[in-house]
Amino acid sequence: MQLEGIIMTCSVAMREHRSTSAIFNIMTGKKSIQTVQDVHIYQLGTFYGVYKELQKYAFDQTVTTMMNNQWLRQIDAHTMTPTHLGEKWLQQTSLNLQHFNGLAYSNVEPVFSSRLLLLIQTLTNTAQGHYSFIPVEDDRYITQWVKSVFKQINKPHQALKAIYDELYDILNTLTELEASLFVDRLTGYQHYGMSTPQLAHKYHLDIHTVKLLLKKVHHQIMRQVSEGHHYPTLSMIRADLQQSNMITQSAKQTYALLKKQYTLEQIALIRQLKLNTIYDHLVEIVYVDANMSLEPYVSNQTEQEIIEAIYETQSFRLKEIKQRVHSDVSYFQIRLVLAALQRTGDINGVL
Amino acid sequence: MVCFNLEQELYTHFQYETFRLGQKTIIEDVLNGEDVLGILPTGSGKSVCYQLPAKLLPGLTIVVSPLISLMTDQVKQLKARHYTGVVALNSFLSMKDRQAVLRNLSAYKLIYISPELLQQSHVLSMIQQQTISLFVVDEAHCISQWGHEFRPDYLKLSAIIAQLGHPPILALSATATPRVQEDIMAALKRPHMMRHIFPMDRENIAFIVEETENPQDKLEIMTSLLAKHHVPTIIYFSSRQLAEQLAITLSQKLPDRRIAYYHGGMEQTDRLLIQQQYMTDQVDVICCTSAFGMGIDKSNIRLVIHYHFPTELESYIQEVGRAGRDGEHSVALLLFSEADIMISENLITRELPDEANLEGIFQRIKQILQTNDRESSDEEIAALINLNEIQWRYLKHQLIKHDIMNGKQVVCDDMKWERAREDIRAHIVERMFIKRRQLRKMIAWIRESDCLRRQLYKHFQDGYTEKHAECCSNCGYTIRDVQLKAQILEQQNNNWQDHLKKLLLQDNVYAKTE
Ligand SMILES: [Zn+2]
Repeated sequence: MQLEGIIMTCSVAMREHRSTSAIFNIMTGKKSIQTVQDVHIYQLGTFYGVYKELQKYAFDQTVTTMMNNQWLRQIDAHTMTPTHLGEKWLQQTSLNLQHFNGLAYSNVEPVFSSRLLLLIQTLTNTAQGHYSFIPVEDDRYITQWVKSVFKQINKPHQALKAIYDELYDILNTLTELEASLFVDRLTGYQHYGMSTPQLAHKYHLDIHTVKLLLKKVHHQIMRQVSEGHHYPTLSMIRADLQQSNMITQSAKQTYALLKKQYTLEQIALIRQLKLNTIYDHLVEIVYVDANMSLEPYVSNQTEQEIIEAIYETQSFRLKEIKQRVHSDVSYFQIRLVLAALQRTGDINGVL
Repeated sequence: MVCFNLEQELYTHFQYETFRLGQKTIIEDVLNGEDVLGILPTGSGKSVCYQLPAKLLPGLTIVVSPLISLMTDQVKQLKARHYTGVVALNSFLSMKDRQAVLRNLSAYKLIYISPELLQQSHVLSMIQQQTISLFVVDEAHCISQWGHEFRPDYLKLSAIIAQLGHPPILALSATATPRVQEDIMAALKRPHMMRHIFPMDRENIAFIVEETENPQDKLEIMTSLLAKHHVPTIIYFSSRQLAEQLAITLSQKLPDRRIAYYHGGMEQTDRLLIQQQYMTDQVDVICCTSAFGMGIDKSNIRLVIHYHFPTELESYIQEVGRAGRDGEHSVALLLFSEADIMISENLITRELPDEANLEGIFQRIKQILQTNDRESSDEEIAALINLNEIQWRYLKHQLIKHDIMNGKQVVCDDMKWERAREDIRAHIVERMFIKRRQLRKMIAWIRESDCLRRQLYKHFQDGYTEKHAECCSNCGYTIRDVQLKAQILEQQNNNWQDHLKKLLLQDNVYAKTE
């Protein structure tokens, strides 16, 4: 019922002013001006990008069911408006949708949860002296990250104890259902977590609800971790992750000038800023804009060299990477490549 | 000559003490630089035949494999064993990752690659710069037009092998009839390969064909059999939907059994989780399509049930061959009803475009391809032409072969189109004829009154293992006689607190009292 709840909440906020596909665009995190505007005008940031893998036909199907339930009423071919019955349903059902925080976490959530799952699998196996297992995550960036972290952990037992304490603490603040779903999904030593359909079957839920509840749990974990409570191990997992749809106002101005084909030096002059600040903006932009080409700043060959150095060092530490590339490669160039890599890191599940 | 202590090398790289049947002789010939054709049953550790030489030979070993999932599974399993220097190159890798691997080829000893990728000139030229010690053609029966899994791309391998300077070849398959074996050697242009053929007949598997009236019968038989025997089981279905449905129905009827479903339409992570749950005995029964099983090496599967029979004997042999790899007694049960014949016929007609409608299909293709300037995926084009993806991929390959299509370019010459269409029509007719014949063979086997084991394997090998007490339903063995070695249940956790504690190894007391 989570999906219906989100659709209903968005409908109530937007009424007949926007088409139903606007809701779909918000949930799948479309990077268009229109969607970003919708999110701000109707204050729907909580749901921005919360369900990136949602298929259009599944969305349409749900909307049709909601119409059949007379929760939504059709205005024209593309627009719906909530009915009385629908609003009443939304008020009477406790869906706890406010615990989503798409604007803050939707991009980093897949990376964060994949890292956590794989780290737990790795630690529990190695703590039992078991060094060969089939990993639940095979995304290269995730496995590289876990390997590099694992190397720094001397005592897997201690790390596990820490993760246990921190997770237990946070899960305790969630509903029984949310905590159970999260724990059942975990993979440990000779124990593989449950698949989405298995969870749906066990808890009598639909697939969308399972997926959305899991994401909500991850959002809540990340929120509690970042709210300054004492969760050192969990915050280490997300420390280097930046929410890429966050972009500072200053960076936006730089971005606008960049689109007018000014060089970085010219932008620094126009904006009366140091070149280094412009460099920072550029890194920020690379995080956000998948179409941003590195070409003008890093040659293909240099990019490869940096990527290879990252694999060699298995770390994201600038100094270590710098030592392994030609001396004429700058920190700025390394940061750009790292940002691009981390951006692709949010495309989860790619081999 | 070989100067390795092979047993010792096997232990070092795989932690196995001894070779399985056939592995050692094949490896010795491979290390001596011979061209080898190895026919080994599924589950016999075919892949060790090149994974070990890859470590011992000086240069690079290239493995061409038809299924991406199979490749990635194998690489994962190798990495789990700390086998290094291995990578899978396929279209799932991003351009950047692929480039990174290609630029760094000398760091690898073993490369799995899809035949499509190997045809790309920049990929081939990077590989050409390496010394190739061994070229492996996995699932080599795919090269034969007579085989049941013909892959057109495999026909181009001999040209690629020539461009790589004719390295020694190892061709491997689990199901290759003598005729297909000849095809393999001819297509690879190596008529004098050393042939090592090992029987696939496994006497620890008993065969039962059970006639049923309707789906209800099938359900009852399965329910009572599973209720009596708590053993790792696979149930094969011809449709994803039925696999899902029956998994749910069976779970309701047998609440203490852990039953899951698996098919190609599931998400990657979910597939992996289910597969691994089955491997670690967290799941007892898998309801699945033929997508399940490739690359699975579980030794204690006791029962393989076919709710629907496959469309050829080769697939059937491969699927039942997953039972009893540990040598313990196991059962292959095929549930047959007359209505299934229609289902199978429908299945094979969906694999090829309808010959009778070819003119209409061609008109649509022409229209769409000549006006299409988008980057359309195969899936989209197939939908536009109103074909399924398998049918479109077949046609696309044929159009390329007939020089009608070249990348995104399409010729306009109507004569050429017409000639191609008639050629393709003839080809479809021939392929359908073969498929129907294979289906008839499958059905004939089901209706066989002679020993099922002898009749099943006679096409594939010379002799067969002598009859014994638990042979087949035509030799007096029935469902009532089934006795299988049971196994123990894993403790299930009730609340999340206990589960989390146990999973993160924070509760030793729990483990001891269990
Ligand atoms: Zn018999």
